[in-house]
Amino acid sequence: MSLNSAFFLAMYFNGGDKMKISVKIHQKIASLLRDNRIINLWLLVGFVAMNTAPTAANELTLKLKPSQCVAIHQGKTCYVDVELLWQAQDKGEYCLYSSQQTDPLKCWSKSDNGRFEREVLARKNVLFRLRESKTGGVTISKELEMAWIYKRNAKSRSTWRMF
Amino acid sequence: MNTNVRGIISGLLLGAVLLNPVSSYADEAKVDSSDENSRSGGYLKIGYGYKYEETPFHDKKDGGALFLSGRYQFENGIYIEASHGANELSIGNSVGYNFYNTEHWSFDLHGMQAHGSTEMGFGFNNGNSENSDIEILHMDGKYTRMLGLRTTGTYDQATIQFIFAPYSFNDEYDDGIFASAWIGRSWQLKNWELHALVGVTYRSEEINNYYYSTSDEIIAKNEPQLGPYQADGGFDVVTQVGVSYPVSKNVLFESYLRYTDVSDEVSQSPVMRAFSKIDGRAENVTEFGFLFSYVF
Repeated sequence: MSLNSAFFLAMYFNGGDKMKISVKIHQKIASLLRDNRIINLWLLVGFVAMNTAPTAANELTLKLKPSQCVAIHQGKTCYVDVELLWQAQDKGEYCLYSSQQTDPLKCWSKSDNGRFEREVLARKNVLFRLRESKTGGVTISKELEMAWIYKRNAKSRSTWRMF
Repeated sequence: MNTNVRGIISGLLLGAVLLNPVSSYADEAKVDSSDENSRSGGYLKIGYGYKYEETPFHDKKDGGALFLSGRYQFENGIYIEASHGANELSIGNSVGYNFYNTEHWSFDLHGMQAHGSTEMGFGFNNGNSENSDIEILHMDGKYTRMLGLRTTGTYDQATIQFIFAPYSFNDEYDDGIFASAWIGRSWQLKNWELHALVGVTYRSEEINNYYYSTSDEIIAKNEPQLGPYQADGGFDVVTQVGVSYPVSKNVLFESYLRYTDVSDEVSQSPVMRAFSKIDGRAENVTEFGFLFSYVF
């Protein structure tokens, strides 16, 4: 905890345009030490550091192929075979969700990687989300984007383009 | 051929005008939030591919071809349209005014090309020997632009269209009548789109006689095969099937097969019968093509 805090402070004081402020902060710290309030400062710094320092634990990656589905006309159902590959640093319980349904597409137990394939039928973007199911805290998402050649104003086309 | 080139060039110029307002047409990030019934907006499609065409109107085409089509309608209802590379006889460039729309139907004051220009040349041997001078007599016709009403109905995957054009801008003959009726339907099979289309086009006797009746100058040559001819109004029947597939959000693959049964009033005219004897000509029109297009 104290190492993280020191790292955070060093990074903060090295900020170029903050140097004048940093000097003032140093002076303030000295003053606080004299006032026996240093403990409060370190608690504050520690709290900030805990929330901003990079989380080294359990990084997730999620790959989606392809990332786009193309239909000829906007509003028509687009068909695409998607493949999702994920990898975690730690083994655990993971579930893959889609914005098209509430139930998970698939769950893995005691795994640190997984693969999922499915044909997706969609008219709007689909969000895939991988979630660590025990804590629910670690998630990562990828979006399948819908695209089209001709936009919805089909009537303006069909008034002339009969084929 | 020159007519085709001119048409494509004018279509490209039209495309240059269209490009700016429709450059984001295929961009899914820019969804048009306008009324669903609004006809404003447009697209421009430039394609290249293979085309095979057998027709009585020109020599057989069998090779690479440029395709171009586009449409843009302004908020005030005025629209411009271009179609080149397929169905050249009846489409070309058009302008019009979309004056009334319902949920399923649109109504336009439509200025369109009812017939392309024609250039015919006939050689006559004025002497008895093969070495005699050959006199070439021309029978050329200006393209005919006509003004009329067009209504188009859209029901799910089906489209119905009627055109009735009684006013001609071609001052070389009295007003004729051009009319057409089309019905088309498309089906989606995964991301493929299949379509079928049947249409009938009518050209009145004024139009057919202007282009296909034998000129007095040629009749005067007393060639038995090129005698006087009086055409009536006639119907062309067109059928087409095709498929389309979106390669990417801007690139479209298309293939089509089109057959046009040309009106007997045209194909049985002495001048067209004379041309049908040339190698590579056919009595009716068969067209096949596949192309990749970039859609703006």
